[in-house]
Amino acid sequence: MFKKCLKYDLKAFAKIWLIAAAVMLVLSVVCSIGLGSFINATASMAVIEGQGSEPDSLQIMSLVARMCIGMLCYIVLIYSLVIFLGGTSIMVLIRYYTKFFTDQGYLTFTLPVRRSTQFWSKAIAGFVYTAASGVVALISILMAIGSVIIALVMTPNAAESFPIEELTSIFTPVNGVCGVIALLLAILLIAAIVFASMMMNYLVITLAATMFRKLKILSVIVSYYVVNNIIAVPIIYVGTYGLMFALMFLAMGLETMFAVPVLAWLCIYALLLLGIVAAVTVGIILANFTVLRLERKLNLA
Amino acid sequence: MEIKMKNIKKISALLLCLMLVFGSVLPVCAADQTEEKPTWALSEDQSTLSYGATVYQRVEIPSGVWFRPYSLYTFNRNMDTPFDEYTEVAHPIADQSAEQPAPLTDVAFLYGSVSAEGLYAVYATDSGKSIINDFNAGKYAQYELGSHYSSSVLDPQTVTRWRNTEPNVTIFAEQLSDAAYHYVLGYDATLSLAKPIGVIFAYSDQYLYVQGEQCLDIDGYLSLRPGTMTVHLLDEADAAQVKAAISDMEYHDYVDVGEQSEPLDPTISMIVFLLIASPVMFLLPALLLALGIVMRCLKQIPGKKRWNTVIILSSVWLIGSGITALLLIIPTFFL
Repeated sequence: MFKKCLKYDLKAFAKIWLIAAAVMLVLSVVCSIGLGSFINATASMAVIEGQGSEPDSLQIMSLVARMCIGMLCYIVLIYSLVIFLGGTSIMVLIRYYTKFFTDQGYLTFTLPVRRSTQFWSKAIAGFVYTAASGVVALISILMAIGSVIIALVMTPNAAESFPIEELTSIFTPVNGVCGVIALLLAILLIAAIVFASMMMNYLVITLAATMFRKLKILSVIVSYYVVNNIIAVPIIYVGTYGLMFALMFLAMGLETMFAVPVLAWLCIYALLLLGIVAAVTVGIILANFTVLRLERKLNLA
Repeated sequence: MEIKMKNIKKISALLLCLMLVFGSVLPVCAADQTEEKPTWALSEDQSTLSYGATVYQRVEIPSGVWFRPYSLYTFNRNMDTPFDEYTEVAHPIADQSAEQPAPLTDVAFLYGSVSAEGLYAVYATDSGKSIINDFNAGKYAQYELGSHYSSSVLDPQTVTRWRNTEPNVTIFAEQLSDAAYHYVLGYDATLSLAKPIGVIFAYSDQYLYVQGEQCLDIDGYLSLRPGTMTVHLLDEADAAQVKAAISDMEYHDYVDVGEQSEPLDPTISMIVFLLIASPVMFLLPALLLALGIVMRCLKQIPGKKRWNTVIILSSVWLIGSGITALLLIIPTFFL
C-alpha cells in the first residue's frame, strides 16, 4: 500500500515539477551563454588594456552590450534558482498541508491506509522532489561555471590574468579516490540534513494545524516563521561558532594525522557517517512525533 | 604468622619491581622535555643577534633600501627588543614553496612589519657578510621593474647596459612630471633587500631610463629636481622588453612560512575538539536513546515499533561517537 501511495504522491506533483525543471535548465543554458559572453567581453577588455592599446568605438559598443546582457543573465539565473528551489520547498509543504489539514484531508483520512503510511509517502515524495531540485540547481551552477571557464579559455591571453586553473580544479577529483568518497559522504550528509529539516517543517505544520482550529493557515505560517527564524537562528548561531572552533582544533589534529593519510581519511569518513546517522535519527524522531500527532487527530468534517 | 610474613614479602617485592619499572620508564618519557630549543636573543647594544650557537653581527646597509622579501621564515614574533615597537626576526628561504622551515641562512632581519619602513636592522654571519657587502657595493643578484606592490624580473645584461651606457637625450624634468614610471630595483642574493637604482618613464610612446642619482631621493623614492636631466632613450628591443615586463607584473605576496610558536600538540587538539563536540557526540544521542526507550515503553503511545528505529539509530550514534573518539585520539600518541 505504501508503494501505491508513494506512486500517486510522486505523480501528483510530477507534471508541475518537470515543467519547472525543464524551464530552469533551459534558462540555465541561455544564462550560461550570456554569462560566458560577459566574461569573454570583460576578459577581452582587460587584455586590450593590458596591451596598452585603445579599443575602437565599435569594439567598445560591442563589449558594453555583451556586458549588459551578461549581467542581466547573471541576475536572471540567480533569481530563477532561488524561485525554483524555494518554490519546490513551498509546493511540497503546501501539498502536505492541503492533503492533511484542509477539506481534502477528510478524504485522505478515510482511505484504508494507515496515517503513518500516508505521512511517509508524502514525506518521501517531498524529499525526492527537494533532492531532485537540488540536483537541477547544481547542474545549473556547474553549467554557469563551465561557460565562464570556456569563455576565459577562448579569450586570447586571458589565462595570464585570470585564475583559470583554480576554476577548472572544481571539476577535477579531490585528492583521488579518498576525496571522492568523502565528497559522496558529504553529499549524503547534506541530504540527511535536508531530510531532518523537512521533518521539522512537517512537525511544525502538524502541530500548528492541529492545535489551532481557527486561522489555521495563519497559525501555520506564523509557527513556521517562529521556528525557522527565531528559535532556529540562535541555535544555528551558537552551533556555527561551536562548529568553527571544533573544526579549527580538528583541522590542527588532522594535519598531523595526514602523515598517515589512510588514518586521516578514516577519521573524516567516521565523522561524516556520524553526521549522517545523527541527522537521520533526529529526522526520524521528528517524523515519529508528527505521525503521533496525526494519529491523534480526529477526522471531523 | 608465617603466611602473613610471606604475603608481606611478596607485596614488598612486587612494589619494588614496580618502582624499578617506572623508575626506568619515566626518564624516557621526560627525555624530550629536557631538550631545549634555541631562541633568538639580541645583545644590549644591538650589535649581535644570536640563535643558539649561531651568531649574527649587525651590518650596515645604505639608505634608500627597500625591504622586499619574496619569502620569509619568521621566528619569534614576541621578541623583546630595545625598540619601542613590535619586532620580529626572520630569515629568507631559498624555496618559496617550502612548507617546512629551511635551514638557517647567513642573513637575518629584524623588522616591525613587512614593509620598507619596517626594516630596523640586518644581521649576518661571517659568510653572510659577503652577500650584504656585494649588495652595498652595487653588485646585484637580480633586477626587477616595479614598485612597492608589484614587479617583474628584468634581464640583468640589459639593466647593466643601461647603467653603463652614457645618456643620449637631454630633457626637462618637468616634462616627466605626469609620465607613468616604474622603478628599476637591484636585489641582493637573498631577494629580500631592494635598492632603486633608476627609473623607467613612459613618455610619448617611448621609454626613458633615468639614473637614480638624477631622480631619486635619499629614501629611494622618485623626486624630480627642476631643470634638465640627461636620460637614456631605450631602443626598440629594450622598449619591447620593458613593455613585456610591465604586462607581466605580479603583486608581491609575502610568503610567511613559519612561526616560532609551537604547533598545538595533536592529542590536545583532538581532546579539545572532542570536548566541544561532546554534547552532540555523546549527550544528545544518550538523551535521544532514553527518549526512544521511554516512548517505546509508554502504554499510551501507539505504534511502539517505530521507536525501535530511534533506539537502534541512537545506539549506533553513541557507539559510533565512541569509536570515532578513539580513532581520533589514539593515533596521535604514536605520530
